Amino acid sequence: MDHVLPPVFIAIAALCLSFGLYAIWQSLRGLFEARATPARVAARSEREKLVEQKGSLLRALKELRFEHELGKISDQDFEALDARYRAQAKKVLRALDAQLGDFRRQAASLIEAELREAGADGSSNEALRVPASGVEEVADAVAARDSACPACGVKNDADAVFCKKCGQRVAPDTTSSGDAPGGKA
Amino acid sequence: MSAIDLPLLGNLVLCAVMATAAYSFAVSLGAGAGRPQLLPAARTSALAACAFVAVGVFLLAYAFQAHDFRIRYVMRYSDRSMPWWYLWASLWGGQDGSILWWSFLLSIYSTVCIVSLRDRVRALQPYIIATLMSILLFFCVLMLFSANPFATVPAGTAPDGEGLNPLLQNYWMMIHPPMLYLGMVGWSVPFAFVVAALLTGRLDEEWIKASRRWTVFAWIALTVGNVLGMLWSYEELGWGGYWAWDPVENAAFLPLMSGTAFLHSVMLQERRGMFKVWNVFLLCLTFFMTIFGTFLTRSGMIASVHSFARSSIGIYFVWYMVGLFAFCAFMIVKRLPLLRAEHRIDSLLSRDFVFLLNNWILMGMLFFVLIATTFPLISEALRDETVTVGPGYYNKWMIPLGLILLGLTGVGPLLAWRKSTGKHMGRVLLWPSVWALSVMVAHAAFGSAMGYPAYVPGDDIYDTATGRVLAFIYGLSPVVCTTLCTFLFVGHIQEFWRGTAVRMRNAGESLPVAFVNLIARAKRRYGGYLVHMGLAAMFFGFTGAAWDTEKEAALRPGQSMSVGGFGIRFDRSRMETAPGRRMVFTDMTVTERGEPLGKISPAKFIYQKPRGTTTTEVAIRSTPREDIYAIMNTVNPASKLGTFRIIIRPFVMWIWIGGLMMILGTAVCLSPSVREVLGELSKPLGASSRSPLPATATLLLAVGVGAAALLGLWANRAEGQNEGSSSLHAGSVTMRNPEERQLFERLLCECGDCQRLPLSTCSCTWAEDMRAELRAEMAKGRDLMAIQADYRERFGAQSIAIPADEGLDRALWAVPVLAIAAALFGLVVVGRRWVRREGGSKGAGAGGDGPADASGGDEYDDRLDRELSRMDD
Repeated sequence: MDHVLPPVFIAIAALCLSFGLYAIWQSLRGLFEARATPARVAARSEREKLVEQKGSLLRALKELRFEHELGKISDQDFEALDARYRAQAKKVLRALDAQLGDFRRQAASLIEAELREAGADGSSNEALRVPASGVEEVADAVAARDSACPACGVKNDADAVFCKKCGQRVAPDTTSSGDAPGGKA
Repeated sequence: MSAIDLPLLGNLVLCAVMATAAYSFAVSLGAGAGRPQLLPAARTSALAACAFVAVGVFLLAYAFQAHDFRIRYVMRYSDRSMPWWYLWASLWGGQDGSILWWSFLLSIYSTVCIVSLRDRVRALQPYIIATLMSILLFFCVLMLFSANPFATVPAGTAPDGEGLNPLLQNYWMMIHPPMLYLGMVGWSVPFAFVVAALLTGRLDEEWIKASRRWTVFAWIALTVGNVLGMLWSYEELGWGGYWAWDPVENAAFLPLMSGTAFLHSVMLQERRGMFKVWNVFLLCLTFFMTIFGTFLTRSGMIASVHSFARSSIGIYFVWYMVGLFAFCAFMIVKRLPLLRAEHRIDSLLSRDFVFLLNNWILMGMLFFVLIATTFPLISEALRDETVTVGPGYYNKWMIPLGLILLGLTGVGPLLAWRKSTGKHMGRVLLWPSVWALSVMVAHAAFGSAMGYPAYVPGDDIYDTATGRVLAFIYGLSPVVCTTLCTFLFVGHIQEFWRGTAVRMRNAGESLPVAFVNLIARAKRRYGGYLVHMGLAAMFFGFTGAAWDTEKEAALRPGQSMSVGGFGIRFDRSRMETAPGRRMVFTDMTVTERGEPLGKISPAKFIYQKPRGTTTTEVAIRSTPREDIYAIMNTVNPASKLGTFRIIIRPFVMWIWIGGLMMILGTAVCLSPSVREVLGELSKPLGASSRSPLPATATLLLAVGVGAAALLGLWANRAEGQNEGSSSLHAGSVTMRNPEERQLFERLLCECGDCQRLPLSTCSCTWAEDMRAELRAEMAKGRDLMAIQADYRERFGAQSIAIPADEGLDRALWAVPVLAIAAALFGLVVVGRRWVRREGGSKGAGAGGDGPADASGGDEYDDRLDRELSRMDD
């Protein structure tokens, strides 16, 4: 052992050294090559807080039930506490839904607009009543829309206004087309 | 000698560590301040810094193995005769190396933490890395400017080193310090999380969830480190005890208290969002205490058997602690608005409130020990008078506090969260109380007959009413402890049983299936219960000390002595030699009612290096019922007359069993579920907030290290104590009666040379003369307190191990006791207010929710039920 260990230790040290140097190299490369990404880490949103609240309320309900079954808490107290925590939990669920509400309405109006544009048969009322399972079909339909740039042919996102390759306008302009003549006049 | 210039290389590596850590620190701060694209660079550079620390450690290890005595540290702590494993242990055997070792453990923690975090908590990561690197930077500064492990010997290369202190040349040295360091350093990671949370302002549950397993792991490592310290003290120091309230032991004890408090109060935050400030404070305090503990150990500010020589390192620690304190205080104050939470409690009769009480008593114990440990410094600063606070003081005062903790631990789990109903609580408390009371009655009735009396009269440490009250509590402690242990044990068994019964009833499972499922679905709860039961076992073991029987005798080969129902026969003495030392063994046979039980061989080892060092090797025969602890004081080579001290101490083994139960319980807490292990590996990275890798690793580490350490003890015992170790200061003093012991334990040796040990253990000639003088005084029939007062008169307040109950010295106990009492009062008052607030908001809440319920109740009820049934833990 006395003759084996010294070279082993030196070998480990050398290994660690080379790893360290490699990591530094990687780190420096990362430092200079890193592009500024606008994706800033968002501050803790209201929603995350609600989700957290929901978690602790659910845990409370679960524990209450378990402890009631264990016989540590009377039926009366259990019902009172259970009702209270349920009410709170429902309030949180409702708040979560309310937050989603905006997005739902937005999504619905987007779908409606798309359907109208794609010339889908059926009135706007029907489009609004698209069931949850129908959303994907609509989304597919939207994606299938020809979004290629008329100038260079690159495929752009469905909601793109300008082409991401050449900068050519791809979306029909509603504002400037009205303004431009007015400006000239 | 190797051709490489190791000292130079080592210094270069240390510089590289410092530069890399500083670079990583800067980059991670950049990544935190709005440039998240720098995070990968910060991560890899932190890994590089950790790798460089490893280079330094292995270079030093190589220097030890290659006997490179150009390096001062190698020269001082090793010699050519040492086997490779002691050469490896020398890495942490002295000051400079232990700082490097600390950095190394921190690097391992940092690496595992950074790697396992991967893509999770991206907002916190930069600051987590920055914090870890700042801690590493501090230790780098220490190494480069004050305690350089690669410093060279000024006088040139020596032919041989000075050798490792014989006290440290035993297998404990291989396990105990690394484990304790693992526990101390481990708190750096949760601390890094909390700092990140403070800096980013993301102070919700996120950081708690992400750091939970780190916290639990640091806790168990620290606990095991403490238990191993007790084992080491008990087996190696040979003075017959396991805990001496030495400043260094206290240093390891303090973070354990605040850490335990944190583990409990954090559950309240998870459930109710309460105590956010308190939890942040507790975690900062725990980290601070680990640094403070290292400071105590390393600076030599407070005299201790463990401490290294006084060195310049202390001032660095002072500045670091000042900075740390200022930073934490500033951040907490700055984030107060975010940390504010509405405190509500449903009832004082709930587990929630018992958790608060648990925090109260743990912090009380911390405060008590902290004041007592630092009292010598306070006293010196305030009135220029050195005092000593000896173990006798702690032993008396900590008993009531410990018993309160034990009682709370027993009651807490029986109560329901939020609210316990009186009648139902009676039902839950019934069996534990019945059992506890019967044990109490049985103990009181039959205890004395069996040799375990319920009341053990203790000596007064003060000549005042306080002293008598303490002595009374001490006297009652055996029966109180057995009662509370029974209560806790039965109560926890009942918890397991009731839970299993509910599962059997509801899910229709068989008993074993229900039991396993019960634990698997609430691992933290039932793992915690196991830890509690381990605590009860430990307290039971501590109580055994009250029933010590002790006897000293001079025997010739063939003669016997009887002690505590056992006969001990001295058979023969023999001499053996090993490299670097001679060993004198005295073989003895233990008999009970004439039947031989086994052989024990206490010994003395005489080391060549440092010249003439002698260590006392105790021999222990351990059974669950009692330990027979044999110390050989002297044996005359010519006449073969030996003097021995035998201690029969009941139930010591239960302390170690308790430690094992704690490891087991923690392993249950940490164990990943089957779904986590199997399910996660197939998922894309970062898909879940929990990672099975660190959990599995910690589990294996905790179980492996802890169990190996504790089982190693038993294996070693079986070998008959031939490979044990040692004490420089034990066992060579003979006491003639308990009164003498009581007096000598309180007076310290004032020869100025030996580390001011009590006269009861110091073996120098000064102490021997002083004992003779005091014995003469006692023979005249003088009161012990009067003799003590005279002694204090002659040598000053520092010569007494227990400060008097008068003047400023009274503040030593009065301040913490008053603080603890005031805190309890405050807690009850505030708790009641929180309950009332809850009552008020209940009415309002019900009114507000009523109509909404009616409108969309069913849909949401269904959703709630679905989510509830999906929940596991």
